[in-house]
Amino acid sequence: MAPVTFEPVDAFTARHRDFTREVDGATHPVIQALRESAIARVSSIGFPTRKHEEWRTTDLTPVYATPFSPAIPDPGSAVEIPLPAKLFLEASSPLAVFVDGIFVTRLSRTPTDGHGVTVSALSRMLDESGDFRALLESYDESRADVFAELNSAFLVDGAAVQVEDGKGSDRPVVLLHLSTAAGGPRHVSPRTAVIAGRGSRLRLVEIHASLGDGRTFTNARTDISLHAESTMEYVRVLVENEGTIHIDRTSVLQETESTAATHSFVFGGGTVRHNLVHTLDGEGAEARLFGLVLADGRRRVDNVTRIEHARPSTRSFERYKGIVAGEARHSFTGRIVVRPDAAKTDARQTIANLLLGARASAEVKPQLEILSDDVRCTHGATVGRLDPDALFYLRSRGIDADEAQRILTRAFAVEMLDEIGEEWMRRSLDTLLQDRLRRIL
Amino acid sequence: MLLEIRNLHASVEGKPILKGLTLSVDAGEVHAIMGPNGSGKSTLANVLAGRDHYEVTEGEVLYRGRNLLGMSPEERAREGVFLAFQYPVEIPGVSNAYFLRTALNAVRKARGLEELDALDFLEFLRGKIELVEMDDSLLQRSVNEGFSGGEKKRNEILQMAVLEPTLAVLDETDSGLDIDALRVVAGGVNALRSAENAMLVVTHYQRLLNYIVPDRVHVLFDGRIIRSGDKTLAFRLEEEGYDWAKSPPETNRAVA
Repeated sequence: MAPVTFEPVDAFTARHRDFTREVDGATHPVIQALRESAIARVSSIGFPTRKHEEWRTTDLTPVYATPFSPAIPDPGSAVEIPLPAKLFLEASSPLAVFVDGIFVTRLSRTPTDGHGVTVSALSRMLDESGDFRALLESYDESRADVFAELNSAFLVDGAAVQVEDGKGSDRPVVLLHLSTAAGGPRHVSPRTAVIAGRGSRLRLVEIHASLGDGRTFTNARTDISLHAESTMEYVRVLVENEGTIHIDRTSVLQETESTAATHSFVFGGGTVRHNLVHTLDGEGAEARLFGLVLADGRRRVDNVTRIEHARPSTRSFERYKGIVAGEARHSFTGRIVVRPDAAKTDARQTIANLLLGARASAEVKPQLEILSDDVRCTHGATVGRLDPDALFYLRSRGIDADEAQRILTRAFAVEMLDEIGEEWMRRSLDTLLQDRLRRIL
Repeated sequence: MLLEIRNLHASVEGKPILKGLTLSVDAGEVHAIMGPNGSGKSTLANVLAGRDHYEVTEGEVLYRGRNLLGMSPEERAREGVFLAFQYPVEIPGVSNAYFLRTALNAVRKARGLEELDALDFLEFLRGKIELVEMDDSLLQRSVNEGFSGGEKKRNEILQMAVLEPTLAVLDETDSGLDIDALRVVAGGVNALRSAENAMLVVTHYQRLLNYIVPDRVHVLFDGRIIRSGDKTLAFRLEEEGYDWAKSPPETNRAVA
């Protein structure tokens, strides 16, 4: 581990000073004020090292040791949507494109289609709805996360999605976050806020992609608030370049009888850490968490999930799979908390990793914290390699060894695609998966 | 000669199984290899298909005059060698139709033929499915997953019908089949017999040979062929048992 040559707090504070001077005039006053309160919190929380148990699996040295300068968004910049992201643009779906955090009207399609779904820049929504301000400013000291606060400290603008009570559409809303990743190591802070009204339904896709091949520190944050009886299917896809360090926090707050399915696909990035929190804060709320990781080379992917059963009769189902090749590593930490009054909780967690190289590795850490009786919690993990009998079977029919490996690897992953309701999303993800497998195998 | 096996010695995990097996098969012929458990029947089948962990320590195998043992399993398949597995492998997540088409196209490509798209392939497959009396729904299911014993063996013969091999090795294809399934499987095999191809039918029991009538029968014991003859040798074995075959031949009566 290279020595840390400076104090990260000092470095980020200094960059924050320069950054705010640059962007203050151009940002919404609520965001401007948030940046100031957030940088103060960053200083008081401090940055973790590997000595912090929660961060043991993530090597943050490159975040601290690289002089990442915050990207100054240029709304007029001429950008072309990169190829992997293009797969996810279906002509009839609403699309909002953000470059270094700024909404780009020219590349977006945000129709007011009468389904009660609004997609816009966060700054615009702040003027129209007090709920978004509250969501943006919500802060739980007991669960302080320095990178979530760092996102606020360097926030310029972001994405907002709102669904009116009782409204919604099955057509996915696509949010595409592009980082310019050019002109020296860049620090970007994509931010998304989602509010789904009572009894509403939403399909949402978030994609993070790089425009260039430069080094980037993507510090993303998504906050989702699901009101009672709402339904959400949420798909996130990471296809950033290998020079990207992606640290991300997704929080989903669920009220009574709401149901959420989150699907996380990590196909890119050099170092990725995704923190996903579902808080089941209403009776009968249900969360389904799915994840698929494809990592090769020397890439590191950490999935850290936390499901909080805070009310009775809440259910969670969690299934993650990792395909790990080369010298890559996938770590999964899954905490399930059942609060004292959350009786009749039903929680299931299963994790499976497929290792494709002798030096690939995977680690699974389930953490159950059960403070209530009358609950059902199960967890299981497997790690394996491709079945040599199946490989021989395919080869004995004329299929070459590489193709046989790709077929069996896709077969391992395909279950995670099948869970997605929207057909073109499944197809796009399958195309991307097979393209990536051809590079690895 | 299509297949010439000369003094073949092979070991599994350091244990010698085949101890000098010699056998020649010509195009248009069906040969049966019979023998008790542990005699080396499956080892022979797996060595011919190129499975790992089967180590050839001596001898050679010529297929159309070329060194078969120097080819990878996929090369052998593309050259027309096919093994019907004793225990077909289940492959969850891969549809049977996709598997069959990928295999056919790999073989067609190697033979300089155009690859078939999904529609042309279904057309091509229709007649083959009828041959093995297989339920269409098994095409959309994962390869062999949850198939009954009979369905798995039919699926093997379907693959054989699709790939149209020059040399087919059937490893205990009759094991675990009821009489109806056996009749269907044998019917499929017989329909695929021709003057250009050959088959090596490996079996423990004579029963299968009532349906697939062999030109030659060989008795494998302790890694060697100890007797060869025409189809009547199989009946004699059924009556007298393998102990009879082990005793020195009284005359060359049984050895044609």
